[in-house]
Amino acid sequence: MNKGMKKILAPVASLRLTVLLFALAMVLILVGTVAQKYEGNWAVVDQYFHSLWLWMPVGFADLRVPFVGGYSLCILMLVNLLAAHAVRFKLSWKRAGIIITHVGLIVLLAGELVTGLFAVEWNMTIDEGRSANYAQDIRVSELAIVDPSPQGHDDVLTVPGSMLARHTNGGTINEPQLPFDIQVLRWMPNSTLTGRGMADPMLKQNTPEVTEGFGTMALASSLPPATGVDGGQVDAPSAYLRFSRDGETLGIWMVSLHGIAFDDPRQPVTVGDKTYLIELRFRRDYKPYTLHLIDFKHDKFVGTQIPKNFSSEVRLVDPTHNEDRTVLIYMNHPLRYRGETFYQSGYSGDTRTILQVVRNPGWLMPYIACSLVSLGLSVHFGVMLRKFVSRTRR
Amino acid sequence: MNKLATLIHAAAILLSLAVLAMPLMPKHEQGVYDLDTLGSLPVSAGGRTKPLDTVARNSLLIVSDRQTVKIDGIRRPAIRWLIDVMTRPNDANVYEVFRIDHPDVKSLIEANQGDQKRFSFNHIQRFAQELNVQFQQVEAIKPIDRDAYQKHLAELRDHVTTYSLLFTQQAPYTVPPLTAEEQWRPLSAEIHAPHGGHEAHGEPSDAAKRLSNIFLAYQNQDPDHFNHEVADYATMLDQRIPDITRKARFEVFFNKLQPFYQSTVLYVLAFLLVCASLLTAGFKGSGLPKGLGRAAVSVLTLAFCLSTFGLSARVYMQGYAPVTNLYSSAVFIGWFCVAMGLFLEWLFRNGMGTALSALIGFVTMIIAHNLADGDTMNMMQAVLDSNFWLSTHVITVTIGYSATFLAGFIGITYILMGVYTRGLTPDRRKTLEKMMYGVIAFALLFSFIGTVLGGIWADQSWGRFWGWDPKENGAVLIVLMNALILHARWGGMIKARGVAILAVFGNIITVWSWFGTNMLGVGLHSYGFMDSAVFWILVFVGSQLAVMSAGMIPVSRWRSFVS
Repeated sequence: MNKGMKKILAPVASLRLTVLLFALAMVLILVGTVAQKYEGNWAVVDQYFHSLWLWMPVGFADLRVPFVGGYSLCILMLVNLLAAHAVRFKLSWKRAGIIITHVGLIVLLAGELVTGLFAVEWNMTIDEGRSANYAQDIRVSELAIVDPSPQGHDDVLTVPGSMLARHTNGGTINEPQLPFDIQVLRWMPNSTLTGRGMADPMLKQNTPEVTEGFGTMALASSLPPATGVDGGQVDAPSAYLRFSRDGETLGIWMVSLHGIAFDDPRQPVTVGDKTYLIELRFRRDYKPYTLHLIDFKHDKFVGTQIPKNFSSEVRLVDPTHNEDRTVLIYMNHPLRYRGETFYQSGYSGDTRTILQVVRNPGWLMPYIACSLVSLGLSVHFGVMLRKFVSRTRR
Repeated sequence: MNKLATLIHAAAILLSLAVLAMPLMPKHEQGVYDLDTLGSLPVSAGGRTKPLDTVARNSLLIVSDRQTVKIDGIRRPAIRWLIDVMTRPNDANVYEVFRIDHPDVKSLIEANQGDQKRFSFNHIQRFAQELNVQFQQVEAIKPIDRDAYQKHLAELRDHVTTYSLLFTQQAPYTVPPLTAEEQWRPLSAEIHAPHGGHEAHGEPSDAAKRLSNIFLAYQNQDPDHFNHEVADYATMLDQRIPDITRKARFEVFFNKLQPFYQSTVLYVLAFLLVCASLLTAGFKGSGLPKGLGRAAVSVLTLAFCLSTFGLSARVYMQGYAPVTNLYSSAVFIGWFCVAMGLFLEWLFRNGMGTALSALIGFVTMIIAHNLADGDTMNMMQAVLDSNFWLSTHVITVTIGYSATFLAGFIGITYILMGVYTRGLTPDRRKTLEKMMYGVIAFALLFSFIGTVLGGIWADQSWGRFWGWDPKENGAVLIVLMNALILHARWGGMIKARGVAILAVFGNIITVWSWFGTNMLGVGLHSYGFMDSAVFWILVFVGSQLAVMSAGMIPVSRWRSFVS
């Protein structure tokens, strides 16, 4: 490398910058950890780690300062590292370990970047004896409007929960594809339901008058969003909606993710002579195959409530691939199928299994990175230790 | 002159062997009842098979914060208390075992006058009505929102529950599975307990009948019959479930030996010896410092062997990796710091490694003792169950914690010795710097590998390599801290003093990721937490900041540097 280049790269390649970036990363991670006491893990990850910059709270009042996000730090570290090696590159045993380690680190950072950008995590909930042909994204909700009239299949239109949230406080959604206009009277990002009989009178007073569906029996009330420290709890939104057609009100409904507590979570909405079924649910991703839960098992340690193990025996049916087989999914033994991996992640009651469905094109990268860094550090540490011991003992 | 050195060395070894042998001596007067055999009978509690002796010790420890009980003015072993509770509750109910500390809880049972700390079941029973009302009120409040009074009250309620499960014979599960279809079950499920509890169903099994005979013999104060029945039953179990009885007997031996308690005593002894050796450095000709120094290393090595035995024994009894909860992480961190300290002593032979590892060994044992809550070998949730990646992850990451701590303590030594004494000679300065550098490099290696292994385990278990979960973040903070120190040193930004100050800061970071994330009350990774710990953590963090500020004093004002 010529001298001019080196001169330009020198400040970018400096160890001072490295130390500064480490310090910034430590601050970011520390604040991003404490933030999980108040916000959901995913929200924090998006805001702090999968971002270019953010407004960081400083701890008193509501004061916030701009701060570098995870992506920016990641990129800066990569630039610093590459520049450093460009400027100081020298092949020797002493440097070999360091070079391997740093290559591993690049793969690791790139892996996190790929995961952040492309990985998807879904959830599949199946009851014993039932089948599922879709996975759901438990971070995103949607209002499904189902037209069951066609023979052999349903026509489904969906309105994203985020759209409902944007139209809250009386905004109206009128899209030509929708069979009716939707006025969002209230949107609750996380909620709980109470029977009308048991509800607090204040709550009753502040709730829109529901005219149709299960909202006539139960009231939804707002909850603070689940935080990262709650450990894997999921937000369950609810909403109060008024539907109208050509300016004429059809009624007011309450829709909720807690709708599954009722016999049929889908509520009928009649427009003219046509009846639609509506449901607020997690966003679905339909698969070309079906999983049928044959048996869900979970054991506890004798005389305790501590789960010992859990497993799901499922039948995988995929007509497009001519596949029909039985598989057992249990802790640390996921099913890998069509680029997706199905993990036993949880259960509810004795007969419902919850599988985590993950597609991550970068899943192998941490493994490669880990091997490289471990190799590099071991080489370097070994070389150093030998020198150190022989020098000290002499 | 070397005679003196040898003499001191030999004396120290003899003294430590005496410490070692002490717990194995019969402490209590052997009564007419063969309680040793009774104590070694296997039972199941908390999902784990263990000897009755362990159940007795843990239950008594939970209720009374002690492992022995005073009966008629004489200290008796826990097993004596347990068998009394299970078979002669009328006697046991007057033993003063329920420890109550909170003044408001004490006043509920009209005991706020005087300094009595432990109360009998009968005493508490007298106020059952009012207590039940209070218990119900506490029930409605989530554990995390309870104030000190409510927490103590809830504790008392749990203790009463533990106690009543014992005397109704619903816990532990005493009846063993002798055939493949059977499972551990409580005696009360088969034979109606003499003092209330569940109604039993069906024809009792042979094992249940025998157990019941043992208890009846004790209840009827018939030692000959009791001893005969216990011996018979133990022989039968030895034939039917030999693996389980062997393990149970081993655990009784482990309980008696108390290797961690003994190594704590030895750490103190080693520390005193090495300090004496450093203080007598002026009398080189007498062989005194040499003898004391050698003695310290031998005592420390013995303590280390004991700890190693203790850890291996736990792995054998529990069937998991050595780190499963906060208690065992403290034990492991101490153990590994001592290992590294001994290695440093072998390298440098200047007493520093010995002094530091004796000190850290002692402190971590005290921490472990305070983290222990009943059975420290509880079962792991399915998610955390044994798995290659998990086992290697916890071990390597805990080694990373240990090394970061050790580097921090070397940093403290460097700063305090330099600022307040003349002891930080150019020679010591150099060795301490080398030690810090080597240990930090080692810490970086292990904390990094440990963190990544944790990611691999998470990927294997639920398909997410990294989730920015608070505990993961804690681990990566340690990696970054160590990387920062090393890069700053390579870049010439800091020298020995700067490394020392930052290494002390590393202590704060390590404590944060060890305990701080548990304080946030986090999901999967939190192993449960005690409030008083928060206070001590703050004290620790404060002290570390104080040491760091001392380190910031310009070198020209350090006593070691003033000529």
